[in-house]
Amino acid sequence: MEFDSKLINDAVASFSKLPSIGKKTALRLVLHILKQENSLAEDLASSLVKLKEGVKYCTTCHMAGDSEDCFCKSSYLDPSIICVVEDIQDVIAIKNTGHYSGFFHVLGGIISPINGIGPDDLKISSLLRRVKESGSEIKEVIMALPATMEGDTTTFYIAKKLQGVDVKVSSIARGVPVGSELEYTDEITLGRSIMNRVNYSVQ
Amino acid sequence: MHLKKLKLINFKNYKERQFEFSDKINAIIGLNGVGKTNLVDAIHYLCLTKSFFSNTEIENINYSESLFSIKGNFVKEEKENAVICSYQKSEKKIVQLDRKPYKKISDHIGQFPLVFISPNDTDLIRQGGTLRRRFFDNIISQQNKPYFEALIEYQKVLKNRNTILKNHLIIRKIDFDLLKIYTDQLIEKAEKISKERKGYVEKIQNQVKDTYLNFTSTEEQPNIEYETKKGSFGSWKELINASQEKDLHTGRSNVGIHKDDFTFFLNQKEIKKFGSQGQQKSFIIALKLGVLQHWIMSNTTKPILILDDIFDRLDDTRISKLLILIEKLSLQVFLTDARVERTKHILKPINANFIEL
Ligand SMILES: [Zn+2]
Repeated sequence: MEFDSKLINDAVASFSKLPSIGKKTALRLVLHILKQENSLAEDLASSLVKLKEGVKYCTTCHMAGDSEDCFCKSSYLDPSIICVVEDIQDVIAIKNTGHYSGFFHVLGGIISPINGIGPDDLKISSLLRRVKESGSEIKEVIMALPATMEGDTTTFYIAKKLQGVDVKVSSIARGVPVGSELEYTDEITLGRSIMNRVNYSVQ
Repeated sequence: MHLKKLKLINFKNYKERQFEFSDKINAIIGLNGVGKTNLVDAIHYLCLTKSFFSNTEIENINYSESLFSIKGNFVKEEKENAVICSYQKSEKKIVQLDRKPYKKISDHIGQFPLVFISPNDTDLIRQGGTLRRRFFDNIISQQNKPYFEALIEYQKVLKNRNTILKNHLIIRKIDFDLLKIYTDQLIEKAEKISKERKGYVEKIQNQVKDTYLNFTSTEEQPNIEYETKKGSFGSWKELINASQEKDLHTGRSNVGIHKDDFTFFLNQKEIKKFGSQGQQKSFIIALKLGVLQHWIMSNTTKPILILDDIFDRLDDTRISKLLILIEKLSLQVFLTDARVERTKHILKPINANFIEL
């Protein structure tokens, strides 16, 4: 799939560096951009440069924003809970549920030594500091990490590091998706749902 | 369960070709080099999402092409399922069941089970433990999903644990909390896997014995022993924890189920050391047919059996005994042979479907 044009080949190579973009998709995107008005390419290029230069990360919760004035400074948040997530998009997902109004803490990844990510490469020590320095204002740390081995390892690791600190550590529940049939749920999920079943109370 | 139709596009030596099969015995015959083994390898691919022979996907693509696809129509419990495996250079392999791509390809394993018997199988006796572990893991995984999941997770934990141990050798620093987590996970998975391996070997023991006796008409007693370091210790927990000092020194995990082995005996003598070539061949066939027999007894889905080029390695009496044993199992069989007349002669008493390439 090599073109005579070095310009096209280079652009395809750049696009295919993006996650889940193969060479074929990259080529489709490049040819699409080529066919459109100049403004599309210009807007794309300038917004990418501005993005990289302009976006700031909060030094407290590590969320990305346009300024250092992060939403975690606002007073309407419940200061007694902090939700630990892998990445920025998880903050948005949890906010959108409408069921959470506490703080967030973005780790920037999960522990995975095979991929070269150890605890020191993540915002774990800043989380521990944040909890300890809150002077027991933070009552609960909710771990909302992926339901994978790596996610569990990270949760476990942080829980271990918080041993002896006066804070409750919880993890989001994993189970049967809402609106789905039991027979179509995979065995592992179903097994976990049974092990971590919840009490049913009739009031 | 059986494979009804198969369509190959650019797979190995095939450009484009379709086949229809019988749900009983299919004999694929033709001269060497026409693609008999490639055809059964395509069936292996459909069932287990990889080739029995090639190490890379590129090797599976027809020369000068950039993609291959294998499409098969299976009949399972009276329902028809279409499986498509395709791979394009520099893209990810895709496996689809009834037009829906799997998110995790490993979910396909066990849905359309298969057992492959090939002439190089005596390697299983003669070579190192890796091959034997792979054989048993493959067979157990196809029948036991939780085992398969535990195996995948064990490999992940092992790799992570080894990475931090190796880093420790270089930077002289290790996070002991993290090491402890990986060690505990390793122990938990090892217990599970080891228990299943032990149980499985116990369960197939009698079937292998019976098949061996039937096949050879001798009084020799075959036996399989599951060998694990755990034996001398009370539990994996003690063994793995006791190894930590050594692991830190060597930069890797020295004990675990990744060091397990299976040893094969005939009259209490190790076949690897004392078995003749004939005994080794007979043992392997008895092992695989024994596995099949146990499989059929304990599962609703019968696997497909592939016998690749094995007539050449057996004398006529063994061949006819093998055929009798196979017929009794009444499952779908694919066998390949280069000697057309011989195969037709051997299979005369059986109602086989001949596919001449
Ligand atoms: Zn913030």
